[in-house]
Amino acid sequence: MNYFLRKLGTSLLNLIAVVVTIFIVLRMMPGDIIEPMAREEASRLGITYEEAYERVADRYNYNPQEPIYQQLVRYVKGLLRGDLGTSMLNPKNTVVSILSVALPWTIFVVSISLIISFILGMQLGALMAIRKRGIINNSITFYVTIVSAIPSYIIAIILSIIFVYQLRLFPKSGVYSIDVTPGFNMPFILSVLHYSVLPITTYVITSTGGWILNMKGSSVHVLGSDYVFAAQARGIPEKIIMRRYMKKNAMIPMITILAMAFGGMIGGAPLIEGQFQYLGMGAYLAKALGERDFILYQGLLLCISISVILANLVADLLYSKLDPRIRLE
Amino acid sequence: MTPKNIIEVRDLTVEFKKPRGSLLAVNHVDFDLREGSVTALVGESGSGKTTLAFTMLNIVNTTGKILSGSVNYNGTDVLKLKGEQLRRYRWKEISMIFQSAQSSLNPLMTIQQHFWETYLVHEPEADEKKVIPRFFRLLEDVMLDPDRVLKLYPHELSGGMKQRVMIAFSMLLSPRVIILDEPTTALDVITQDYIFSILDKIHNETGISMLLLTHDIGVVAKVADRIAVMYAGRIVEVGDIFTVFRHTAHPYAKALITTAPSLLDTDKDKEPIKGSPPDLIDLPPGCAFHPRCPYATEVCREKCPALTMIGEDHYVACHNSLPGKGAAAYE
Repeated sequence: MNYFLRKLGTSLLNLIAVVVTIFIVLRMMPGDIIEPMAREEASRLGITYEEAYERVADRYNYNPQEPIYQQLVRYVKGLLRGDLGTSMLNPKNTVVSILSVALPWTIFVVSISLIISFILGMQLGALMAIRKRGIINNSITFYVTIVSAIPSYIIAIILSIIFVYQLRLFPKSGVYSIDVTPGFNMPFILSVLHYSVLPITTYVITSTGGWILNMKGSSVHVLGSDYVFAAQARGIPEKIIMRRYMKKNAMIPMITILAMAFGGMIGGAPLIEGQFQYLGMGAYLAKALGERDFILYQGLLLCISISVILANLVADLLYSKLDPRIRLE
Repeated sequence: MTPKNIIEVRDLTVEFKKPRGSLLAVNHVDFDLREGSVTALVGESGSGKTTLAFTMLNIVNTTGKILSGSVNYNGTDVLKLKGEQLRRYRWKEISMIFQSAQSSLNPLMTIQQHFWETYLVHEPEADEKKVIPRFFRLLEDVMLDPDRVLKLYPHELSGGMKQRVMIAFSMLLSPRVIILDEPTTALDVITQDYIFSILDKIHNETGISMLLLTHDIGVVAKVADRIAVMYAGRIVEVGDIFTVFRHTAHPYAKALITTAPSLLDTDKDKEPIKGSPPDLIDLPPGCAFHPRCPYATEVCREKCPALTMIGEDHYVACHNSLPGKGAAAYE
């Protein structure tokens, strides 16, 4: 329990550091975004500029003219109420409502992609470690070299060209077809799966290579260890050695990377999601940054950071479950 | 009556390919392990002891290649065993405690899981409940508390405990031979002594044959009844422990034995062995020991001496040990 509380404490400290850092870094961006909006509001409603400025600042819960500590207090007060502010370019949408739409799609795509690429990576990586030479090894190496040299958005574009524009097998954009009603019904689920195929494929193609190489390295390391040799001397069949000795030991560090990759990928890949107009975190991130909607940007960053911190916490706890050397006390 | 050999190694050569060239870790070696004996195989690091021992389990490292020879165990050539036969032979007939005993256990498995796993792959019909008493007895034999130890993970054991677990583990399937590769290297003297008393007890109770790989002459004198000395991949002297200690014939063996520290005499008159172990990739011609040998003559530089019998159960590979020559043993 002690261990758990300690890790939880560290995570909270991380969270506080992240909130403050994001806040300060974003405040360092030049320009006053409230100003043009206040001007416009003043002329529209026929009120003084100061009055309009006050109203606009209140609406976004952000006043750049206040001293920075007051801004921080205002921001944190909002956070504690669960208020992340309002999108600047689309005042009807609160940041929380945008997150609640975008996050599930990203989590959905990212988890499926990660599961597929992780399993593929573990199997192929282990295989490469066992068969040091031969056609499998050479073709995997070839694949990994090619894929790691091509940026993910290029792969997204290639997939689009082939499957969307040439073969017309998959939709060009969106997360589900407008013909279906969201809910727990078959047409909706099928439509969601149909729309997610290309983003998921892009993720899998680009990230599997890394998993393979990581797992190969880890497996080769374990294969050279004394306990594998000793197990061979005890007449343990190769199959058991591969599974219980090599894979299990080699996968421990992979699990940590997995949890961290999950956290990291919550940011979505703006370029991948952008290419498929898949309205997840990445797409909004790209949009917020492009349109200088930095209340939204701030909210997205915070959400991504929380995911990373949470994923790290999960990794720590998982690690201690998997490796008896790091047991919870 | 000649004693029975449980392992007979004949003309064994093992080659390792290195970037600089190839080396023979074991070089045309003949070696017998007498049934029921404790044979010590002595030599410096890199003399080929471990490689020779590995061939007895047919588990030569992937970079090593057996060029010639045979290892006969009870009438079968171990080097010809393959697949399932080889798998069943290992540990069931011959078990080994590695030099790296401290890291010979899977960090993710408890001791009981290790024991049971190994037992099960050799006795697929076994029932875990029925063999647990056996695990208990084995651990009690090495003075460990089975109730506690079986549940522990390797990292929860101390060095001495791990070593004793490995000894118990090596006895799991009642093999006929145990190979102990420097079983006490990483341990303090008290624990060393303790381990050897346990091994001695096991040997007395079961009559198991043991092959002890070490460079510690003091240990050899205490526990072994036969000794073989290895130098640069060859056996240079072999025989009954008393004969070899009393009539040491090979200059290298002699140097090893006389340089062993003792509490009774001073270090002053101890002569270190001059020079350093040879480069195995570029061995000197003739006898590999001749550059360091005080008795070396012309013939030593040209011809490699063969292992020759010079007394009852006493063999030596040296040109000058033969009666009437320099370092002769039986004056």
